[in-house]
Amino acid sequence: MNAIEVRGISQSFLQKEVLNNISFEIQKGEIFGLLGPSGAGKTTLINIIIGQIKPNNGKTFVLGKNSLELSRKDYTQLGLVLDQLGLYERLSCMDNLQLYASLYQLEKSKIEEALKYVQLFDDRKKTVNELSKGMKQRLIIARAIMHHPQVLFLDEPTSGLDPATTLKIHELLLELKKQGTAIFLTTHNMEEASSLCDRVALLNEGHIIECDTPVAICSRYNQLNTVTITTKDHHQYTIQNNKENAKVLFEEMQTENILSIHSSEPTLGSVFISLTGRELI
Amino acid sequence: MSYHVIKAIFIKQYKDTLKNISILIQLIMFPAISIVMTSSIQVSEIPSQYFVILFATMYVGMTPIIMISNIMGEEKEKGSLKMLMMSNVKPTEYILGVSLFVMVGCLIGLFVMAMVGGYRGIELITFVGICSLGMLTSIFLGSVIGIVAKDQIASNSLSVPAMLICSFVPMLSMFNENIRHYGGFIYTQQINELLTHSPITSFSLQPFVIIFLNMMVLLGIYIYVFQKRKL
Repeated sequence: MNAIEVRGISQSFLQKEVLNNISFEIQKGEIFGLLGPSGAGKTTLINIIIGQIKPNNGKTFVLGKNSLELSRKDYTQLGLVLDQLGLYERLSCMDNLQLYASLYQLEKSKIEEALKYVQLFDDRKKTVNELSKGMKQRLIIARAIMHHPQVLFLDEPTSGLDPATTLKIHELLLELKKQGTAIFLTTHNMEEASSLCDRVALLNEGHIIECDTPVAICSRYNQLNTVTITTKDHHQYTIQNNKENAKVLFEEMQTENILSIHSSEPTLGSVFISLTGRELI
Repeated sequence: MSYHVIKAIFIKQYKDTLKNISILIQLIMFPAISIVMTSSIQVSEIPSQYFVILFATMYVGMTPIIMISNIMGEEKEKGSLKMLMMSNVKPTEYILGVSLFVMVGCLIGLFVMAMVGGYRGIELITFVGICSLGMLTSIFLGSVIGIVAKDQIASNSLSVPAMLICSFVPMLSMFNENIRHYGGFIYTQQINELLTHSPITSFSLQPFVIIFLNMMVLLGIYIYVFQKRKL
């Protein structure tokens, strides 16, 4: 059974088409990234998948159940990290989680476990007002994973965070993936998508223009097929990546003269630009 | 509807209100003023319960409206309400949890005012009972504003005229016959008159009918707005 299944979703707001015939599925233990510029419809799609918006066309399924028929019990299998934090600023970290623990009927130990997991246990008595942006982000991740959901939705989880906090959050997500959680992630950060996601879908003007592993997508658009070699004397040259040039590369390696080798395959960002003519902002 | 969800919302609201001075002050202000005024101004021409009745009427027509609309406005603005809805808290459970907290908070305030006014026994029950009817009506009005308003600023601009009408009309009607005549259609005016003209044996049915009609009209608007806009 797929963790998430999206079949032919189309959605318009005020006659403006936001999503057009979107289809994909996500397996358990998979991190799936939906990439697109701001306003591409990523958040709308999350809202449709979790049953908050009824689509104009198509169906979505979460853990085998139609999103529009999710029961209270089904929702306990979902974790949500959305664009708005939705935290109670005057309450402590503990009290914020306590509310959701009560809603999910969890024991207090689960709150402590989640706070330890995101390394906020020592700050549990601090009010949300006193937390940094990164700490707030980790707190909402704690809130989302506290009840051990099978499917986790993250809408731009590292947007505006410093690299250290971003790395910490990536480690948390990879740990959850190992435990079998299906993770649906929206982002416009290419590096994040490349390093974290098993598969990505590129969303532009309501259409999925590519859907595959980041490596496969980048390789598909590697039209140059070259490698750039930098030697130890800082000389840099580019050769075609083919049989004829293998000897050149071999000789450089034998003489231990290579400082670095870079292949010419494009990044997800440059693929997106080449396909759409616009940047992912 | 689930009891544990309503309880969780109630407890959240209790903890949050304790740290939210602008909301907390709404609960404390009128009981505190009535204590100060009753104990400091004792003139033979003014009945001993005059200030308690005056401020209890204002309390009924102001506090629940401001509290509920503000709480909902802030939750919408911060996205916490959306998060609750996505955690499958039903809108009715949320409104019940918050309303219950506002009702309990206001009842404590009313009880203090009743003590200050020297109400005891059946008088105390009558005083709290009449004010509770008004509070319930104000809660419907506050909820309508909370549903319509998109954020805290909008909830403030909508709740200020509503609470001014509800709380000041009974006071102004003492000085102007026209205001008294038209204000008679407003529930707070009727509550003021019921409290002023106690004892219980002298009550006529008319004020209760007007309060009930106010309540039904607001409940109707509430249901309509709720179905149309949700939360």
